[in-house]
Amino acid sequence: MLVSPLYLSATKGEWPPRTFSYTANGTTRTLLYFLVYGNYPRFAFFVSSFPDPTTEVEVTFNRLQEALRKDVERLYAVHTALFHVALHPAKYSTV
Amino acid sequence: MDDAFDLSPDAMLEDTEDLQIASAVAAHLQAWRHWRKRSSGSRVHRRPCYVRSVPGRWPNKRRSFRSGLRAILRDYFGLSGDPPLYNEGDFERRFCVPRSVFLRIYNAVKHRPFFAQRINATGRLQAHPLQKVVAAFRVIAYGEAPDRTDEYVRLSASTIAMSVRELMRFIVDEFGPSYLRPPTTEELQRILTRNAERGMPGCMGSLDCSHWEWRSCPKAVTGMYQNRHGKRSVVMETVCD
Repeated sequence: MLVSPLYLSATKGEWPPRTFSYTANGTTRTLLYFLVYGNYPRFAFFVSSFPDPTTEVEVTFNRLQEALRKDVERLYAVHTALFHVALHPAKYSTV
Repeated sequence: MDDAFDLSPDAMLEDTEDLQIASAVAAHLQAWRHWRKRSSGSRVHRRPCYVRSVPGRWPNKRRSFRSGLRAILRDYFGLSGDPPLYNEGDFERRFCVPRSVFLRIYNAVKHRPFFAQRINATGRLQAHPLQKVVAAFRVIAYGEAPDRTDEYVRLSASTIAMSVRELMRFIVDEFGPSYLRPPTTEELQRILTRNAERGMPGCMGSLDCSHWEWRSCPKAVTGMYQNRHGKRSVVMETVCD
């Protein structure tokens, strides 16, 4: 994760653009974020679900977060179903 | 053969020998320069993998390239006025792309150095670009060994492996800048609006990573690419908005 192009561009301030702002819970922020699974590093531009939700607010947040994250889970299913080459070990000597 | 969008089987199999041979000779020289530039461009000395026929090697197998091309045309494009054997649904299921996408890639790639029809030292015409593109698509779609595609498209396993690699390189170079890119401002605004309606203001999308095992990882970098199962893998990072 620490060498991925996405992380490097985020730490250098190239991406995401800071021209958009949104308001959540009465606070206006400009850093846009990605939804991730809980075991990703705790970066400022990642939002994961609560590990063990207890209050009703946390449960609702987890429900919304997981509903949106279903998109990317399905994307992988479609990708491997279409291109079976991804099911086998890659045979090419360079990345 | 000159028309870039002439895909009728008659045009692919027509016998304008002079024109065909002249273009094949030109394509061969172009491909030779291409490989030579790539091999001399790298500083590290590499063992030449794809050399000409040399003494002490097995002769080439007598594959009939033309029969492979005829089989492809008969099955998916129609031959000598007959309709193709398989319909659009079969085409889309087998190549994993619609016919329009396939033809777009084929038309873009068929005059490239590696894919254009070439002529060998004995003056015989080599494989048609359609065979190489179909072979590459079958390998990508089914994940099958290049050796197995040989039975259908009549190309050697090494040619198929090269065509897969060249096609992937071409797609990334040609279509990557227009499709593999961060969203523009208008697209990002649209994504943000849609995600805000779904209850997540300020969300650019969901991110997920997946491992793809890498069988032919160079030994020098095995430590860098080791995963938790003790194997080498590459991490693919995907963002879905």
